[in-house]
This record gives sequence, C-alpha cells and structure tokens, in this order.
Amino acid sequence: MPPSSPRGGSQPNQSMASAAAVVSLNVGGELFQTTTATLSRAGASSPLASLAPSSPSAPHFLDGDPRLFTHLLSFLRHGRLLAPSPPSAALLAEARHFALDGALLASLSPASAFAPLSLRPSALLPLTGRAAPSAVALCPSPPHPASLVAAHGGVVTCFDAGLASRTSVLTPLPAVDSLVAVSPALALAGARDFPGVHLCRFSDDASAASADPDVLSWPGSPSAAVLSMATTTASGAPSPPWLFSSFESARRNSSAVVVFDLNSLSPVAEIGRKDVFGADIEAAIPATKLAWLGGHNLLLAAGSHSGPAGVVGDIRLWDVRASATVPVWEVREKEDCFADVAASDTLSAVFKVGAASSEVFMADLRRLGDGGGIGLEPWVCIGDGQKAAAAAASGRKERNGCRIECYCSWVFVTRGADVEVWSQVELASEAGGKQVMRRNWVGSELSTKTKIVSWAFGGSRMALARADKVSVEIWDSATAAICANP
Amino acid sequence: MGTVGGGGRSGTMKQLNVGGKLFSLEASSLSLSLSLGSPSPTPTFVDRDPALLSAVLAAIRSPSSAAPDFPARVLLDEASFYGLHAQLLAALSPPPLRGFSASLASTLCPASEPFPTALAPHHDGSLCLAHGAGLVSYYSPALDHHTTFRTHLHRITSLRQLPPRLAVLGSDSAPGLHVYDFLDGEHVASVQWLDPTDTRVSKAKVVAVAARPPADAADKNSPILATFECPHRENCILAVDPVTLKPTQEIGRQSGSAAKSSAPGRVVHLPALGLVFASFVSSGTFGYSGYMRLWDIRSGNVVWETSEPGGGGRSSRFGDPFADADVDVKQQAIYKDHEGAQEAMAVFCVVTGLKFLSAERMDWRFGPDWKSTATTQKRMLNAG
Repeated sequence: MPPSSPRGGSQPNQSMASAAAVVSLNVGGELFQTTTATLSRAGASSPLASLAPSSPSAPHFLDGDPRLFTHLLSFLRHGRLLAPSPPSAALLAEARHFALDGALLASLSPASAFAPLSLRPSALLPLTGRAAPSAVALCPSPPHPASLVAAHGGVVTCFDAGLASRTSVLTPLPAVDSLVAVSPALALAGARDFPGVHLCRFSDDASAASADPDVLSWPGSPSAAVLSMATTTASGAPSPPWLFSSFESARRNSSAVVVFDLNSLSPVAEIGRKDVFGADIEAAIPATKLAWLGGHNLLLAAGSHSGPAGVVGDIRLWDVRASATVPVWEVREKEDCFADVAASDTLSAVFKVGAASSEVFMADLRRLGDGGGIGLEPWVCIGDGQKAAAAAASGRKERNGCRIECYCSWVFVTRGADVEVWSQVELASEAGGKQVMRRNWVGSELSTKTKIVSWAFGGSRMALARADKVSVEIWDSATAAICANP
Repeated sequence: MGTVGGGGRSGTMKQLNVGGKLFSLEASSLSLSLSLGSPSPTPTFVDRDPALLSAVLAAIRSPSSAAPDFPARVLLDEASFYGLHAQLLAALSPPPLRGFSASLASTLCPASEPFPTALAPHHDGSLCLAHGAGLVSYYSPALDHHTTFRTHLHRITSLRQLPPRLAVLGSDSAPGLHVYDFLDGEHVASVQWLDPTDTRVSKAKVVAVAARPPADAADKNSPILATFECPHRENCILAVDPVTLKPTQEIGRQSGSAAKSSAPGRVVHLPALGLVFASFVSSGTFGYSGYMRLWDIRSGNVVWETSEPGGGGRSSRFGDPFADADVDVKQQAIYKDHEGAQEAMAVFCVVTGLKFLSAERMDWRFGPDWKSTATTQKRMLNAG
C-alpha cells in the first residue's frame, strides 16, 4: 500500500446495519476492517474463518506482515490476486500461515479464464540436467491447483501453480513416455520399454510413501510395459479416481487396459485384453492412446500400427460398467488412419487427425450409438475435404506426427512447431442454428521453433515441450486477460 | 483523507470507511446506494479494498500520472462500484483527437493471428477489431483487451459496432450480414437480401456497412445500412432495424452492369437530412472513376449525384477524379480525396441543405488551408 494512502481510521463504526458483522483486525500494528462474510471465504480450515465480529477499539490481533495481509484480504474479497500476478514466495508463506495457499494457487490459473485465442507465451520454465522433456502434464484444475509436471530423462519435476517452486523426483525409468498428473502431490510415469506405472510423490509425507507400492503393474503380466495412461477427472465425481493404463506384455503378444483405483492403488478391472495368435498383428493392436469421457462414462482406447501396407489402427469406446470384453463402438481404420485421436465431452464427439492427409475429422458420439455405425462412414472431415480425399487416394504410408487434444470446448492440433485450434461456432436458431467448426492458429506468428514433443492443458494454461529444448513453454490466457497491453 | 469532486461544500461530503481506512467523497459523485443513508457522524462501512479506491482516486485526480499499480480493468470495475466509472474513464481516456497533433498512443496486438481486416471504433474509445481468419477482438474504452471470439466467417471485411454489445459484420467471401454479441461471442442474427419476386437475388455479399448507435434514448430510428451485392453484381442498400435485426427497406437497387451502378463501397447515414450517402470508386488503367449519390431514405430516390470523371456538367474524361469520399455528418459536408495526380489533394463542398442540392448547384472548393483541414476531418470521421 502506498504510504500516501489515507490514514488508518480509528473512529467506532456502528452506523451501518451490517455493523454487527464487521470484524476489526490488528495485523502487525495496522488496522483492517472487513466482514465475517469475506473472512468465511477462507474456508473452514483457515483460522480467519472463525473470527467473531469485533469493534475497532478491541480488534483481533494477528501476527503477520500488514503489507502481505493486504493482498490476502484483497484476494478474499475478489477471489483472485489483483496486483502481483505471480505471488512472491513471501506471500505464499503468509498464505500458508492462514491456510489460504491452496485457494490462492487454485485462483492463479482458473479453467474459466481459458480462452485459446487469447493464449500468449507467459513463461519459459528451465529444467535441470541435459535431457529435454519427453512428457508434460498439468493437474486437472477444478479440484486442484493447476500444477505442472514435466519428465526429463528419468527425472520428474513438479512446478506448483505459481510456477515458482519446484520439486524433482528420480524414477528408475531411463526416459518417461507417458505421464499423468493426478494431484499436486502425485504423478504417474510410464515408459514404453520398461515395466509398470511408477508413482512420483512430491510431498514430504514419508509415512504414506512407505505403506503404498511405488509401482503399479498388470497382474496378468507383471513385466508388461506401459503404452498410455488416462485418469478419470475428479470433477465428474466418480467417487474413487481411477487410472486407466494400457499395458503390453514384454513379449508383445498380449495387451490390455487395466483399471486401478487410485485411492487403494489396486487393480480393479481388466478391459479389452487382446492376445496375438499367429501372424495376425492387425487384430490385436495395443491401445496407444487412452482418454476418459466423464460425461458419457466412456473410455476411448485407440491404437495404430505402421506396417508395409501403411498405417492401420482401431478405435474403441468402452463402457467400463457394461462389458470388459465387448466395446460399445469400434472402428477399424484402414484408409487415412488416424495419427492421433481425442474425444471431447462438451462437444460429444471424437476427433482424429489423419496420418496421410493431416486433416481433422470428427465423429459425433450421439450418432455412433444407434446401429453401431456399421457400414456407415463415421468420420466427417471438418478440414479440407478435397485435400483429405486426395491424400487418402495417394496412399502415403508414413506418419506425420500430428497430435490432437480436446480441452473444454476446443480441439487443438499440433502441426510441427505450431498449434491450431478448432472452435465451435453456433449460428442463431433463426439463421439455421447450425454448428460449424472453425480453425485458427494459436499465437501471433508461425513458430520458427522446433517440433512439439508433448503438450498438456489445464487451468487457463497450455504447456508445450519442444524437441531438444531443456525447458517447458507455458502459454496462459489468464494473465493476458487481466494484464493491460504493454 | 481521499477526496474527489470539485465541490468545496462540506455538507455534501460523504464519509466512507473502506476496509478500515477513512475516505471522504462528494456524495453527488457516488453511486446511489452509497450516497443514500442517514447523514450520521460515523462513516459508512464498505467491505472493499482501500488500496484500490485510493488508486482510483489518484487516477482521477492526476490522469497523466505514471501507470497505476493495477490494470485498468480492475480499476474500472472498482470505480463502477462507487459510481466513479465515468470519471475514471474520462481520466484514463486520451484527450480528444486533434488530427494535426496526433501521435502513436499504443499498439494493440491480438494474441492470435494479429492481421487486422476491419476495425470499428466507437466514440467512447472502445474498439472492435476483426483480424486473422474470422476473429473479432473487443477492446474496452481504456483499450484493454476484453474478449476474442471466432465468427463463422473466414474473413471479415466490414465491421461496425452497435453499442452496447453488438458487432455488425460482413464478408466479401460469404453471403449475408451477421450480428454477433461481442461480449459473449454469440451469433445473434443473420440478415440476407432476398427478393420474393426475383429469385436471382440470393447469396448477396456485404460490401459496406453503416451502423450508428442511437443518438439518445428517444432515437429509435437509426437503421443499420448495408450494401449487398449479388454474384451477378446486382446490388442495393438494405436498411435493417437495429432492434429486431430484420430488413425494413430496400433502397438504391442497381443492376451493377456498369461502373455507374456498381455496389457502393462506402455508405454513410445522414439522419438529420434523412439521406444516405453512397460512393463507389474503381481504379483501372486510366485512373480512378466513381460516383457519389445521395439517396432519400423515405422515398428511395436519388436526390443528388455526381460521377467523376465527367461529372458536374463537364464532359472531360481526363479530369481529376476522386479516390475516396466521406461525409462529415455534423457539418453536413462531403469531402473527397484526389489521388489521380500523385499528390493527395482535398476539395470539399459545403452542402447546406436539401434545397441547395435540388438546385443542382455544386461547388467543390478548396478550403482556406485545405490540406490540414481535410486530413483532420477525415481522421476524425475515421475515428468515429
């Protein structure tokens, strides 16, 4: 607070009707006045919430720094920090003193502020060591602060939502291929050639770590390697959070998706086990991409295989409660097989980017339900249809490395070093009420940087790991929304 | 003790206790809920941030001081609680534009695809910007970024703001005039030019739009004017009701078969005269040519027209035709800009009224200091 600001008031205050709810606080010698309603936003665990109304002549004394407390009180009033956008370590320590640090970190990157067309590069987080990051993940942000987890070499580093403090954990894996952030204190890492899902705990809580296992493996084949992982997002409120992990046995002749309960860390179910008999590899392609659709209670499992005849693959949707052997929907991809698949809850659609054409296709989940979609081409090209048809006809056989991901109501595609975003535009009902998908680039210019290796979305942020860069790029739309233009 | 407002009378001052700090503000400048209440000796308690209020007051008192500690949007939100929004906005806004002393104030760069295709300022200083592939960004009067949204169009070539929250936009590559809510990013309505008696009139694209916010609350009669052009070049000016967003009237329908009947690239509504100004310019091997017309919005007839070269009674093909023209609505004057002779030459004509026009007396004349006057006026017009 500037010293020229008005002097501290000392007169008694009983004029307003709400005077009964006014709380006076003496923080380090400075007088603050607020209401019980404001203080109760701190949550039941905070000592602030239980302060009773008091008069300015007999204020509650709190031992703290009045300069920092100003920001905390302002945070309670507005629900977000106004002035110092990345909170200083001192402010976080002060917030921890009042049990406000969780709420403070969660407010830094709210998912409601995510706007892909306002994303700007906001931070470049350097990593220690020489290994470039191979995988990044962001915490599912509505229940947790959007902390970032990055795997570089065999080390997994967690940055808190303020992107200031970091914690690193060493895993036995030489390189991490798949990474999932469950909470700010727990991440799961897996590698394509090494057995088991490894738990990375970032908290100092030693008692929990000693009791629980450090590795989750497929009971049917403990040496099986992990190809892909997905978790149920806790906001959808299935009471135990689940982990889906796609395993392939060491001899590469069987694969399955195993469901783990993340509270008890025990396997719950095994879905879609495939065994290879003979040379029919295409019948049992292991799932290399898993995604959970909370709104539909469906698990998307997709795998592709690149052979002499080109890329072939299959996409399956599993209803976990109905059957572990028969998928709800299945499509074999022979022509213009997917390079990557993603599913969106809010758009209720499955999106793929073609390996040959690199165009984006969409399949409506509501239309997949009836008739099983047999004989009917499920994909509708939302990109350039003619180009897609030409590319499919030309029979390109190599992969293009495009990736696709859905977050909120947007679909993101990486093309080399750049990210494109598809947004849904709904026309007014009197103008036809059509919903169309439209394409844009993220960022102000086409990037001259290296290829995107891994990416993640969470809160109001996008995290990018690029090839050969020992750092993680953070793009944020919250800071862009609040900060004025330079 | 923070004070605001010029009044020196102590009876109108209101004492506020903002989060434990005392402020004294003029009651008449405060919002209603704060200025009411019994005139008691003890200050009214408000559970707000005292630092924010002192930042707001500092910004109002010394507008040109250094950048405040808080972003403009936060300050404006806070000021609207106290009813100081208008005062703060006036303090944060730059001084009125004077063309001859204009300088670069700030550069706005949208976060994605920052290639502007159309822009629409409003006289309060807010700005709608169409950029990239069908993106629209809205900047508030303090020029801080508010929203960016995607429209279904691929390229927006004409854009107008219709405060409080509508943006009227059209594209030269897709048919129809489209209205979006720029705060929510929602599509509100589409207007198409259709003629039940002529089925050839379809898929008309929008060339130019004129939309004026109502001058006051009583003014319900300022339609959105848009020039539509069919694929076969037939064109018209369509008046659209700004409330129902339905077409009300078709004026100035032309075949588009010649330069003299092409779709006007600029349209200006002159509500005081009940006229619509439309101009068209094409450039070719032999320089510029074009026409200016004034249409009567009630009868739909041409009131006055001139075309250059060869207009105004002279038959010369090799005159100095205009490259662009605009109307000063307040002074009721048309300005034209000549670029045929490599140098920007400006001539303006004082249109005093309908009577003058119907007499077909035309008087393009140089202003006393024609260069600065015309550029100033044009910039003022472009700035809305």
